[in-house]
Amino acid sequence: MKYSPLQKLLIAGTLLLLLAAGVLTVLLPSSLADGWRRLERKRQDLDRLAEIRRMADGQTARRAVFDRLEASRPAPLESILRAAAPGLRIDVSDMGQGPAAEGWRWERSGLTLKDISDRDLIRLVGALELQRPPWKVVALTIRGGTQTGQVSHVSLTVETLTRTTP
Amino acid sequence: MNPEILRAWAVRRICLGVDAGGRTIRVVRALRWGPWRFWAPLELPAAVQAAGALRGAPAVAAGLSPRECLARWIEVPLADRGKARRVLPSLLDVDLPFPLETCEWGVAAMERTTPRTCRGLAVAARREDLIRRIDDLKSAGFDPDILDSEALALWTQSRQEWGTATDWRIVALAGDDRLTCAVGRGAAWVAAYSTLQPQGGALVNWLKSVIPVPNESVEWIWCGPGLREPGGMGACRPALEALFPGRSREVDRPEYFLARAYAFRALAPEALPCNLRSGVLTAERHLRRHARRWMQLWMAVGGVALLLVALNLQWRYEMDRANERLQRQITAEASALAGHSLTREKGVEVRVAERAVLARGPAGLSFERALAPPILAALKTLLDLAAAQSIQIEEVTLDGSAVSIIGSGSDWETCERWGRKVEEAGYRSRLERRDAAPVGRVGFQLKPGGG
Repeated sequence: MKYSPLQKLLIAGTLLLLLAAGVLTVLLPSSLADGWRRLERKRQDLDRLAEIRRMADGQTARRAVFDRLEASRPAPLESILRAAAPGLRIDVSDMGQGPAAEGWRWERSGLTLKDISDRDLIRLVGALELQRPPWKVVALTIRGGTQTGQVSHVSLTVETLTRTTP
Repeated sequence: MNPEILRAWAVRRICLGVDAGGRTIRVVRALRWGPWRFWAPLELPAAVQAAGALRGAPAVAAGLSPRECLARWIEVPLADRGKARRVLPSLLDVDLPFPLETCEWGVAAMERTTPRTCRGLAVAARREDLIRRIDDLKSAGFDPDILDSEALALWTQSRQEWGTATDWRIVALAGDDRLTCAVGRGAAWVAAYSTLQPQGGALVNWLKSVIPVPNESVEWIWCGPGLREPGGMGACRPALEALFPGRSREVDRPEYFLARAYAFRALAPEALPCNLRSGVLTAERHLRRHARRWMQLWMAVGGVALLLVALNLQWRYEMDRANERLQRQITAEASALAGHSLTREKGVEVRVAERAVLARGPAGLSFERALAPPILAALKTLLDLAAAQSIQIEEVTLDGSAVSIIGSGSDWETCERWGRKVEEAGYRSRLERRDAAPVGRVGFQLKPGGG
């Protein structure tokens, strides 16, 4: 069978196309699998970034609550204790302070009380935590008393945040 | 692969059948439209014009009488039909009165006769006869694509128009100058004979040799232009029918029977196909058409290949685009979290962003603690759990999620049950026995950390 030069060119082109199609089709499954893996990794990265974003947003939101407060620090601890539990002997000890986020620092104190009723304890803790910024009880140790509703020993660790810049 | 297979899908096909075996050329225009077949006779000038205008394959079909074209069953002692077909030329060469090299030949059928033998219907014609017929046709204005066997054409057309024979059938063509008899039995073609002198004894002897029992019932089918011609080739009909009595029929428009047989065989070459215009004699037009078919096939294959390549590239392009889109999202989000651009830190964006956010974490822990639920609520939960199990508590220490409790229960199982409840409440702890306990009770210490 005789072909013109143009036809020969067409046949050569077809053969090349066939070869290319064959090679591409043979390689396609592995290439697709690689592609899917890459996309899957990227999707996982995006999911992880979304988690990190939620964490960061949580940080920002919590900080924003304190930034909106008018007072730059709570009332002094002694005055709150005097008002909430008059007549009770409370040992107060300074447990240190340190920087929190920019413009804020934390302060921590230890309170030790003896022979206190559970009602007084609840009232005392409530008074501390209702401050703005609050004196938050972050740790406590309670030892039971000999009578019902009586606590023989209470040790509280309270923490507050104070603004360092006006 | 035969590119003509593409043509087989054509629904509508037209072919001219040319009967040029006698003094007059007779032409029919046959049309096959799906399962329907139509034909009409054409005057010669109109036929020549139509032959030039026809496109597609085949355009013109003609044939050779049994005097110029041998058709014969040949037994091959091989069971495999493919092998038998390859061996057939050697056996045919022995059978032919002239060398096979001077002939064009073909195999119209190959069938298994016994488990160990096949038989092939070989068709052959001398090249010089073929050239002469082609030249005759060309001088009349036709360039045939197909040169068929008259004997086979008569037989298959008789089956087409009259159905399969119940027993012996003789299809007799009374031509202008010859009488051709194609003999078959049932569906099978048996043999053919053509003579210029039907009144002589040769034809009768031949018929007697083919049909072994003379008085057996025979179905005669008569056709050809000489059938109704006074003193023509049809004049021997009564004598022949007297020798081989049976049913006698005449076909419709008998003078065009052979022409339409050629045409319809060309349009639907299912039974005993034959084309002796092959090899070096193949029509130039036919070769061009064949080449064109191949080109169409190549182009179809090229189109499919192109489509495959395009699909492959499209897949890759789409995947790359999706990948880039996700990468842009990751870079933008991570940069926003880290507080600086991470465009040049591909692959580590998540780690950098996480590190930046966690670095701000310790400073923010105080805010988290300040907004956490009151510690007394956690203490109440623990005390409620203890009350439910009649656990007495002597000392509790709570520091974030770490809990340490000293107390006693009625028995160790109760203590363990309560320990599990504390775990379920979210405090990882382990329970240990303690010796010091009120009388009748079991002492324990719940310490922070899992067991």
